[in-house]
Amino acid sequence: MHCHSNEHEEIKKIKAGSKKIILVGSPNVGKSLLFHNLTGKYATVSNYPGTTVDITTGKIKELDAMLIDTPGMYSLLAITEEERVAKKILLENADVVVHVMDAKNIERMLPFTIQLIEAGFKTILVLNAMDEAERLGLEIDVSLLSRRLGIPVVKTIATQKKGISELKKILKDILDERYRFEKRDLIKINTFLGNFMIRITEMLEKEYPISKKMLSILALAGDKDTLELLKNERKYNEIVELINSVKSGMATSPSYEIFLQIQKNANQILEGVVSEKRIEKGSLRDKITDLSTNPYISFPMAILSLYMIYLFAGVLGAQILVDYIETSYEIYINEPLNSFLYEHVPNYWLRELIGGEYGVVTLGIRYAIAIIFPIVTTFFIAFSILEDSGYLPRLAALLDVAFKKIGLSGRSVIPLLLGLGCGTMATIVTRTLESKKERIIATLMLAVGIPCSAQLGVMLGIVPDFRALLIWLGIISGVLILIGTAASKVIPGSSPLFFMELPPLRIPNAGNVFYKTLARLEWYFKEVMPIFVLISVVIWIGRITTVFDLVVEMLSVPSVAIGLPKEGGLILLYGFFRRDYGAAGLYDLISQGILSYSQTVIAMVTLTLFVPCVAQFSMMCKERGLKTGVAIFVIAISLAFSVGYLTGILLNYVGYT
Amino acid sequence: MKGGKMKEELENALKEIWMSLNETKKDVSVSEFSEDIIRDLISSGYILRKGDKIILTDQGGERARKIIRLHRLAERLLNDVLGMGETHVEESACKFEHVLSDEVEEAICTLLGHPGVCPHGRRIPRGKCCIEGEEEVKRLIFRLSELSPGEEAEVKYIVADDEISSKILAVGLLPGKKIKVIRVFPTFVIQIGNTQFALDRKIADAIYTLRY
Repeated sequence: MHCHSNEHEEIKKIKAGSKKIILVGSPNVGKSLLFHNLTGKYATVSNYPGTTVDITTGKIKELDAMLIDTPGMYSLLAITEEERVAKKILLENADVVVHVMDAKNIERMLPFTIQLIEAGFKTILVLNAMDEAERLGLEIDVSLLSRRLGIPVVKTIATQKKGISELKKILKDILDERYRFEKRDLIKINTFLGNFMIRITEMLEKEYPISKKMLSILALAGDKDTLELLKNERKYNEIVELINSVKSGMATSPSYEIFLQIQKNANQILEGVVSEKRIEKGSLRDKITDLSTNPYISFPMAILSLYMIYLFAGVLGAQILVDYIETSYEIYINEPLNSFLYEHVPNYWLRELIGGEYGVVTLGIRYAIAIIFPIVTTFFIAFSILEDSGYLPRLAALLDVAFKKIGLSGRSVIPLLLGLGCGTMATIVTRTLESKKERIIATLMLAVGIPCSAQLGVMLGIVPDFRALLIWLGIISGVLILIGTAASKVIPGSSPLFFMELPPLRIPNAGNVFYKTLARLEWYFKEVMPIFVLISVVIWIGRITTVFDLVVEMLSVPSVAIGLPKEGGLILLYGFFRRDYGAAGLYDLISQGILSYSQTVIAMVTLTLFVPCVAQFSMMCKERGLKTGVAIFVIAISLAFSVGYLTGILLNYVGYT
Repeated sequence: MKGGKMKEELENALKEIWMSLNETKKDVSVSEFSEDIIRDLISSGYILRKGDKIILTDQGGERARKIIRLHRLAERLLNDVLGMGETHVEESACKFEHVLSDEVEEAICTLLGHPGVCPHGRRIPRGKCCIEGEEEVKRLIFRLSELSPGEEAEVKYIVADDEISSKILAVGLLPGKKIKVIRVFPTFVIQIGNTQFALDRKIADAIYTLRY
């Protein structure tokens, strides 16, 4: 996951750069790790499909070439948005294409290699995770495969950096034009479709970045992007007519028959290349892997993993570390700074800009470093461990049936869980969901009711007792279920499908977890720090001009109406700028002992449901469109106050005050 | 017998007689059928007249059983595998029963796993293949969603709209691929080659497999 706002920069870099090498392959085969090995730059790696939602670029120094990592794709026939992104990059930029595959699944993945070769790309086939394949007893004759395909084939183990230097050497040979690609006729369509393919090929008159044979195959298979590409052909209408007539004459679809043919071609190529030794299974790992999808085991496992996140982010981060850092910050920075300012800066407003109650250092940077930093860090560590273990897809599979009830598929569990870390980041990741409907519902839930890690940490830190925690949890989950159910009824579109690869369980590599946490933190701080400083400045300006007091006054009206003290308005305003900022404000208020039991619960509920922070809001508008973004915003505000109000009544009724 | 239509009429009459005698256990009187049909049935050696009543000969009984068997097997096929609606099933099955050859009959019966009852709950008379193959030949084609954990099967065909089938195909669940079912709850988990996939019921319903 990378900062979305950088995408344009990345594309510009691609346009400007030198030779371009593109990594492609299905999700979770080790592209991103290979990217890291080749460039030294860290693209977020994880053991679940669909992490790379944006393109990442890096430089291979020795080759003076640019390497581009793409979202996962299974074939040139793009289905999801991610695949479309990957295909677009491929068509526009490729000098060399590196097809990375999981060696143990060569039979299933080779059809894509064949498509790439037939499309005319200078392709290298990388058989990654050879260690896992060998453990399964699989042997692959690389030189025979290389001869049959007419391209270089390299074995690698990206997790151990094996085979990387060989890959670099081959890349260098290709870039220096020392490697000779052999032209092979790999896709042979023997059915009547073959004739149509030839007829369409002959009708194409313009020049394209990929071969006419592949274009006509894709067009026959009904690929929308390809048809779009052919729009300017003189015989476009004739081609479309031909394709339609083929379709209407068939009981199955042309894409089905074409895929079948290509798979047959692949199987023929692999004959004699792959041999399998029988290996006794039943190792401890197989057993754990097996158990991990067993519902009776995996439900407790799911709870255990959530508990692990809680222990990390909620206890270690939000309580122990926050306490420690907060106190130190107060003693070593705030107090000396304030007395220094008092002595040396005579101007009150100048003093207030830096120190005082709302200063850049005393409020903005303090929130960012003392409260948010430990919570977010611990959350990202926990999330990275879960991610790398390969457990998340299993959690997705486990929850799919339940999620279907609220219009989502199990796939949504990944952005929603990530939303417990940072809602903005999670909103970007909703892109990996397949249907528009699902993306909207997930975005809505992230905006309304999924508290981010900082919020969550603070909530857990201030909750007066376990009962209050349960009340809060119950109300928030109730609201989430309610809006999910309502949204799935209101938003048009069919219910989503669920289909996901379950990677083998792996023991998370400490280095990977560290780098990944670092990459996420870097992203987060680039995003957060400026906003925190900015908010302090905005508050400062607001105070000088008294606009700030006015807005706080205004927000304190609904705040008082739902049973909170006047100061609640202030927190809601903070929350508007950034939810975690608001949560941190709430933390302050509680430590001053201003809120009663019921007020604390009401504040927790209201702030959780309150509008997403500025960053998430802008991301919502960017990803889902302004109209949807604003609609979600309005829904969130009205829900926050009405549910907050009802919570007050409820607490009053049962006598928990 | 003059032409197919006549043959159909005869076979239908024979079927009715058999069902009445064997299933509803009621005598059948000659007056229930036209004189032409009675005459033809007798001359074919299918029935005998005993006063007002009709008695089936061995040959006639055999023929009737066969027709009914074909009709009900056809119902099963149309209903289970092709998922056709009630009225269509009845109409098509009525045509089917008169045209199926022995080989096709056995193939369908084996395919369906020698079913004992038709979709309406009536017995399907057993054929040679049922008696011979009862032990070792089990039903062959199953939807993936019908398989149990631990079972292995081969993907045979996919029946789904474009969206589902293109998804299934793109990840390589092609006809001919061997799969193993790992779990069926809460989602389906299958193993293809060396990879496990989780999929929901909608997709599992679309994949037809040959069980080993």
